[in-house]
Amino acid sequence: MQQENHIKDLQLRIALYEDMKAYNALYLLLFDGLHRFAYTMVKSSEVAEELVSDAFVKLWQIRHTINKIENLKVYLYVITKNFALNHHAQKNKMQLVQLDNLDVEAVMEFNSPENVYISNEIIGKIQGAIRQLPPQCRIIFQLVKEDGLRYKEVAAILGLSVLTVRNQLAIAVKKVTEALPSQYKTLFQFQDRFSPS
Amino acid sequence: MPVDHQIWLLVSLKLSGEATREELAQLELLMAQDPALKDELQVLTSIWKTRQAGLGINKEDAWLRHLNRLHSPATAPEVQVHPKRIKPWYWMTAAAVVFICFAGIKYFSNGKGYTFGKQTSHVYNTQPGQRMKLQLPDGTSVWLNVGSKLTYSGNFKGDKREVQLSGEAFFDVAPDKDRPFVIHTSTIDLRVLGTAFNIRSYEEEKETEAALVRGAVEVTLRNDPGKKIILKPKEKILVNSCRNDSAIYTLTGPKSTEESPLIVLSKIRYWGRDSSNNLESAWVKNKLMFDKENLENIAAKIERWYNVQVIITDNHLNDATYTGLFENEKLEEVLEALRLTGGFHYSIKGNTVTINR
Repeated sequence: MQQENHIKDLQLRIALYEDMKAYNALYLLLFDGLHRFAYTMVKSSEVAEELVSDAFVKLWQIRHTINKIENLKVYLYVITKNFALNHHAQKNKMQLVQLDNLDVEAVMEFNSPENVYISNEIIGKIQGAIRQLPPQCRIIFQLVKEDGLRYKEVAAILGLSVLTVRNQLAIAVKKVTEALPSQYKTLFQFQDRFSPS
Repeated sequence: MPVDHQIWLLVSLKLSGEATREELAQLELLMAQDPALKDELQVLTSIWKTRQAGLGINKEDAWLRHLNRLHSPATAPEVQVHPKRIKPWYWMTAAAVVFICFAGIKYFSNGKGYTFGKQTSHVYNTQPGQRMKLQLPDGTSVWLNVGSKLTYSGNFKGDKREVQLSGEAFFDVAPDKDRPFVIHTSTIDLRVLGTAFNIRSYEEEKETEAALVRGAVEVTLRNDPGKKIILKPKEKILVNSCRNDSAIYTLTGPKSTEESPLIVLSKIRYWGRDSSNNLESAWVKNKLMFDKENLENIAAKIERWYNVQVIITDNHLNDATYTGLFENEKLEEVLEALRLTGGFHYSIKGNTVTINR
């Protein structure tokens, strides 16, 4: 909610005052998520950065009218997606590319977890499980978990129903959990070694 | 709905923070019946809260690269919805180029409109190292080079389209026979009916220069309004803003060594085979160009282009002239190329470049 208001504020400043600082702040705020999202589709960090840049160039070009955009964050994800699909269409000389047909790349490099000990083995298994997910399911999992997007936002970005997002996320969470046979026991054993028993 | 799926639905709703109060109560109930589920949820919660590392890209660096693309019209995507991109430099073959030089640049905040009398003034300016493309209400496109300022009032609703410029800009003027487009600078005024041209005006430089590729531009001197000069295609004009007398010289031989004339007319110059590549507007294509320029001029260009300060310790170094074209090259590469030609030494400390013998 706080982030939503922050984005609304930046949106207003860009639209009314062509405020470069607000534009910069918005870029830095959304870069990681958009870049990761683009990367899953184009699998090149450089190309992904260019696509995010294209999306922000477009935003600057239409800055005077962006006040009418209801959810700017969703809007930026949508144009980034469209640029990524265009990129694929140009590359493959295809008329239209659907997200479903794309072989997406899962980005799952975890930071060292705080408070809880998760071994590299477990992280490897989580990554494996995510890689096994169908492309759409993987992207949904990433957008909800990493970018903190609401179900209805993800639905708007991917052109799906909220119900589909709900169900796909449940499947993703189930698969991740299943990939960890007795993982919680492993975890607690691991912790036991450090407890002063 | 299978019970199993219902469980995972509730777990994922809880993790994503989308669960309603009823759904949370339902999950509590399930966990009370199955303690293993409670453990699983605990582990899942910690995995969920573990954020991914980024892709190893420095956001601030990415922002700078983005700014470069934003201000470089060659790489910016067209705003049009049409899928085919227009070749951005197609019209350059038929462009007019004008350079002007005068004093007194003041920086206002970026492109902010303010009310002056009853009309709204629009001010756009670029900082050193920063370039910008903008569109005026009549459809005219303007590329603003580093450290420049463009001002206009109202929305061009009167019988004239007038702008004020200090610094350098390339104009692609939307044709309108009834309303001439006028560019005011401190030394000259330019009157155009519909063409494309480039204007440059920096206080550090002594001369004003204008070059035309297509169409016709009428130049009026500020301190001698009776005198009108019509630029023909492929001509450029150089106005020395430091002298008050007026005499027109057509450049046929080398420049006079004693005193530079007030106005010099000459031909614009090209690089490469493509006749659209004129040296005067190379900057629009992201190229840094020196055309038989002395080190003092070059230093001023480098200062704006790279946003650094250049100090020349020995005035004798200004005697030699340099010609060169640099595309996307680093400051060090440009200085190294100059050093090899000029045989001087340089050092870079932070934002300061010192050039000495």
